[in-house]
Amino acid sequence: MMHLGTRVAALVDGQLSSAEEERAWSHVHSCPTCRSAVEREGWVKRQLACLSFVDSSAPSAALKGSLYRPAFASYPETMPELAEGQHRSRRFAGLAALGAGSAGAAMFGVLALGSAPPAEAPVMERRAPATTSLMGANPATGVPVRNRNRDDEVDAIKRVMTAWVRMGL
Amino acid sequence: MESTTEVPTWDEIVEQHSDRVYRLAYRLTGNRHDAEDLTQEVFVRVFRSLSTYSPGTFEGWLHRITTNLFLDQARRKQKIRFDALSDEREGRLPSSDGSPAEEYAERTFDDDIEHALAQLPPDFRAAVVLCDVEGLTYEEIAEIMDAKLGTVRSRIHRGRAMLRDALKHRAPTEGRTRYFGPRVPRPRLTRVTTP
Repeated sequence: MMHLGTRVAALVDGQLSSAEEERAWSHVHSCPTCRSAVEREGWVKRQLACLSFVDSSAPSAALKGSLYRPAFASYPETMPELAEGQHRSRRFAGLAALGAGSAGAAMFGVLALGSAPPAEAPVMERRAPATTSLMGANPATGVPVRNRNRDDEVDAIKRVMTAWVRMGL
Repeated sequence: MESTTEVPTWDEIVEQHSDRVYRLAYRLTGNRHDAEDLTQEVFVRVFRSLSTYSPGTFEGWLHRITTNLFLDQARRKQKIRFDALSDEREGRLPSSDGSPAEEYAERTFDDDIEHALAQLPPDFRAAVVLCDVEGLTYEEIAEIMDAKLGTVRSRIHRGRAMLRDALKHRAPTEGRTRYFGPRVPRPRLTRVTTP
């Protein structure tokens, strides 16, 4: 039997058929080169496996909050089908992506300011954990829909979006 | 939570899947900032394509979206870096990558692995992460990456070889079965000799 080559990976990962695996192991037992190849492969795999257990990489509360109440989720009735469109989809994809960033938050602020009385200028909390206004209460936080300005924002956005669509943007 | 066959609400999707998506994003990108951006992008994509969601394939679907968005971005970045490089020629190359030895040695083993992972070409990194961190089969990885089984196997194998090379100083060698600790001279304990 030839040396295992890249099949070392498949052997270590248990991805060979049982017949192949048996043949591979009997080769490994008699071949020092392949034996050390299997050991090396297994060593790296173990290091990576340990990595996933020592996991300091949980998403931040701020990130989760922004996912629960993403800017792009404010107008779900219009978004999905517009995304299907041909040339429009690019614009909306861009807008949705923008909505996830600080520029999107700024845009929200401007639009909302334009529609609400100045005294009620909403405070924009980009990543505050709250629920989307059209989804009801958030099961994780239990925060009910409450922000009045939010409805103004949504209306403003819808108006602007409709205008953009009419303009063929 | 009772199991229903209904399409989940947005909050349920975020609740159930954001940890996993973020974890994969973190392992792929190698840092918190890029992982957050990638996670956001994944959920934008998910939101926009919810109408094509079919029950039962959600996790695979998320894996695919996350991996492919990462690969797209990484390839774009590579291209930019490559263009910048050819403009400036190699003048800056040696100094740009040389981190001070002490700083390097002070990293923990986990940091070392993460650093080594981040140095792999994106396709290799994705294959290795999907296999060894996410625990997917070669078939699943092949489907996610739209590649042949043999390609997946060879990426994983070569990716691991590169990782091992990058972690050489930690790897067991002849006559030494345990891996090495950090390469800093440890403060020696001075033995108090009693007369």
